[in-house]
This record gives sequence, structure tokens and C-alpha cells, in this order.
Amino acid sequence: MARSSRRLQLAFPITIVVTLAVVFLPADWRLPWQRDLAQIVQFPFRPFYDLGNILAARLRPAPSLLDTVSPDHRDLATMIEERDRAQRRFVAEHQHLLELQDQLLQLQQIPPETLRAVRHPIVARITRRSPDTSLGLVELKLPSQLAAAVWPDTTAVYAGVHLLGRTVQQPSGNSCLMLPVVNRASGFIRARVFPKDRPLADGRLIQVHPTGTGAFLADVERDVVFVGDRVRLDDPAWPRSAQAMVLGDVQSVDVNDAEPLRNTITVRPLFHVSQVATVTLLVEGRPESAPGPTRRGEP
Amino acid sequence: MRWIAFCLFAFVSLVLDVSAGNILVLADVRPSFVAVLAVFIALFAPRLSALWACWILGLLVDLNTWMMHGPDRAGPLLGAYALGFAFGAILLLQLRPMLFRRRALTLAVMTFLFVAAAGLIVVAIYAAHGWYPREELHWAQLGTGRELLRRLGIAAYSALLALLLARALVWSLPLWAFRAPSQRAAARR
Repeated sequence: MARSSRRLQLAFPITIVVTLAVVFLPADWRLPWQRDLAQIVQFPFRPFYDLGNILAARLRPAPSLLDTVSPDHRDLATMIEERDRAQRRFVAEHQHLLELQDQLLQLQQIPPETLRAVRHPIVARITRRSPDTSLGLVELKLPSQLAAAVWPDTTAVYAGVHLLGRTVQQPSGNSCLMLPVVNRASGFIRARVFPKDRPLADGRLIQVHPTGTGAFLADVERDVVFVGDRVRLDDPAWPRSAQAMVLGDVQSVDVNDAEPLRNTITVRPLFHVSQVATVTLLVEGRPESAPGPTRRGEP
Repeated sequence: MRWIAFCLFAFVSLVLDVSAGNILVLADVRPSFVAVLAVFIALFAPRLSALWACWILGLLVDLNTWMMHGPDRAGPLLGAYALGFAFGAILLLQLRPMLFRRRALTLAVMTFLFVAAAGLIVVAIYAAHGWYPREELHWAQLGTGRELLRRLGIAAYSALLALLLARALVWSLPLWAFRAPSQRAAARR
């Protein structure tokens, strides 16, 4: 009895030493088995995480454009949504056009039809959030018949045109991980800023980076960007479906102390991943297992 | 200590932390239900049980905290929270004899200390990984100094949560059977 009690007392310091050894292993040696272990342990929790997130969405509904207009002008919200979609489409097409012009210059006459990827939107529910930070990786639950169609770097948006992030790693089973665009791991992002009063203008190219507080920072020339201007993605490193998606609006413009002739702008996304319960994944190309688009009147 | 009660409470608090607790987010600071539970156990459970329970709770948080380890590699870093929670438990076990354990304020203040101490260990481990060659662990969104400040915010917010939950936790004490019957008799004496 005394021996077993002594063994139990010894087991804890030994466990701490083993934990210390494991925690300082390099990523290559620990990631593969730790990922598998985490997924096995999370398995019984998943349905409850899902329920918890549904409950959270009920308790704090996701923000909507309806919140920004008075109750008397609810029709206006639909029109704002339509306007945002049309603007996004125009800018995307315009960027596409500029790209094509470049390609023409290089004698690459590729028809736009083949370049334009077919988009298949999948609505995915957020099932697990990082207990550490609201800007951390989130786990998405995918519809089982469409899970195979999602691959790394699939764009995740909210309200059609607002960029929330991208998927990382191959989905495992019916779930995949999404990295919020405001996470610092997203790194530098090329974007275009459009004047508030001329949303369809050419826009000015900028480079934004996540600050770690749910916003982006960028350095720009003085007196060219103003509060309220809209910032859209224009980065070839991101998928085509993500281009011209809204990163956010310019929240503040401050003089850059290090370079007085330049300003530092803060771009704040309109929607944050911690506020929403679902995201839309824009899968490029039609997944094999998905039902194909049917024309009106076709069976 | 009744480990079935531990499993039940750990399950509920982890689910709350990972899902529904999201509604309590304020500027990337949110309270930790798991930490409040760990402090409650560290205050009442026998020494060894308290240490094991805190280590297990930390490990569960580790398993649910996935981070980017490079441009296209994501996964957990097992051990950071397990060690942080174990360190917090050791700290609390030293202070325990001096405390009025059933007071809500005790649970709140100890939660603040526990989360701050655990956060210090977690940040130190994450920062150490920053020195590894070919390893880009994206953990701190704000840089080490501001990350520590954020964790102090989490500690304060968790302490507030502990203040609210203290009554319910103390009420659940009979479920836990923290003392063996012989110890209870000795305590009565």
C-alpha cells in the first residue's frame, strides 16, 4: 500500500519531466502525432462544441447589415447588400481586366472563360474556436458530401463579399481549419483602397498587415487615403475567388512619426470571425461529388 | 476526490471555453472556465489529486489550442498549458493553508494569480519556440509584452467569472468528495 502510494507520488514529477521534454521538441518531431492525438481526444467533444456554438449564435446573433439601418428602412439593407455585391463584382472584373491586359502584352491570349473559375459556395458552421485567442484558428464543419471538395487555401467569406480567412491543411473527415485573415500568421497582404465617394475608381495599391488586434495596418502616402475608404484584396497569392473581397474600411489615418511624409492607416474589418456562427467557403471548380448546377426548367 | 465529478465538470467547462464562451469575448480577451475549475480543485482537493487534475485540464486546453507552425502547418503544442496549470497549482498549494477557501473573493483572487502564473509559463514556452530554426510558431498576435498584458486581462476577466461561479462551485462540494471519510472524521475532531 505504501509502495503504491510512493509510486503515485513519483509519477507526477516524472510526468512533468516528460511534458517538459515533449513541449520543447521541434515541430517536425511532434506535430504529426500531436495532431492525431488532438483529433482523437476532440472526437467525443465535437457534437457538444457544435451545440455550444449554436447556443452562442442564439445568445449573440451574428451582425447583419440590418443593424446598420433604422427599422423604418429595412428595405435599404437589401439594397446595400446588392450594391456591395455589384461593387465587388465590378472591381473584381476590373482587376481581372487589368490582369488580362498584362497578359495580352506578353502575348498570352487566354480566353477569360477558361480563366474564370467556377465557384461553388459551401456554407460551413464554426464548431471549435481557440480557447486561447479569438483571432486563432477555428474549425469548420463541412457538409459530408462536399467535404472532399475543400482544399487548403479555400476562401472563407461572410455576407457574400467580406473576407474572413482561408482554409489551411487538407480537411480531415468533415472538418477543416480556417485561419482568420486578421491572424498575424496571414502575413502581408496586397490590397487596393478605394475612395469612399468613388467606390468604382481604380484604387490605390497598398500592403496591409494584421496588427494582432483584429485590424490591419498599412503605410500610405499622405493625403491620399481617408477615413471611410474601402479596402479590398488584390493579392495574387490568394485564390481568384478572394480577389476584390472586402478586407475592411479605413478606421483611422495617422501621421507616421518615423516618416512624416507618409501616413499609417488602420483598416478595421466589418465582420470578425468571433461574431459569426457560419462562413461561406468559395470552392473554386465544381466538386465531383456535388450536384451540378441545373438550368431553370431542367430536372 | 471523485474523478467522475472531475470528468463531468472538465467536460462542461472545456465545451464552454471552446464554443459558447465566445459570446463573452471583449477585445480578444475572454474568461477561462477551465482555469476557474482548476483553481477550485487546487483549493479543495488533496495535494496530489489537485496537481494531476490541473495538469489534465491544461493538457485538454493544449489539445484544443491549434496554431500555425509555418505557412501551411497547423497543430497543437502539447504541454504548454499543462505545465502552466501545474505551475499555477503548485503556487496555489503553497498559499492554500493561509486562505478562507469558501469565500468567493478567495476564488476570484486565486484565479487571477493562477491564470497570470500559467500565462507566464505558456508565453515563455511559446517564446522559446521562436528561437527554433525553421519553426514559425505564430502564437502572439501582439508581441511578447502586449501578449503578457492581454493574459493579465484574461486573468482579471476569469477572476470576475470566478466571483460569479464561486457560489455554485462551493455548493457542488459534496459531489466532489474531496476528503476521504476518515479525513472528514479527523477534520470534525
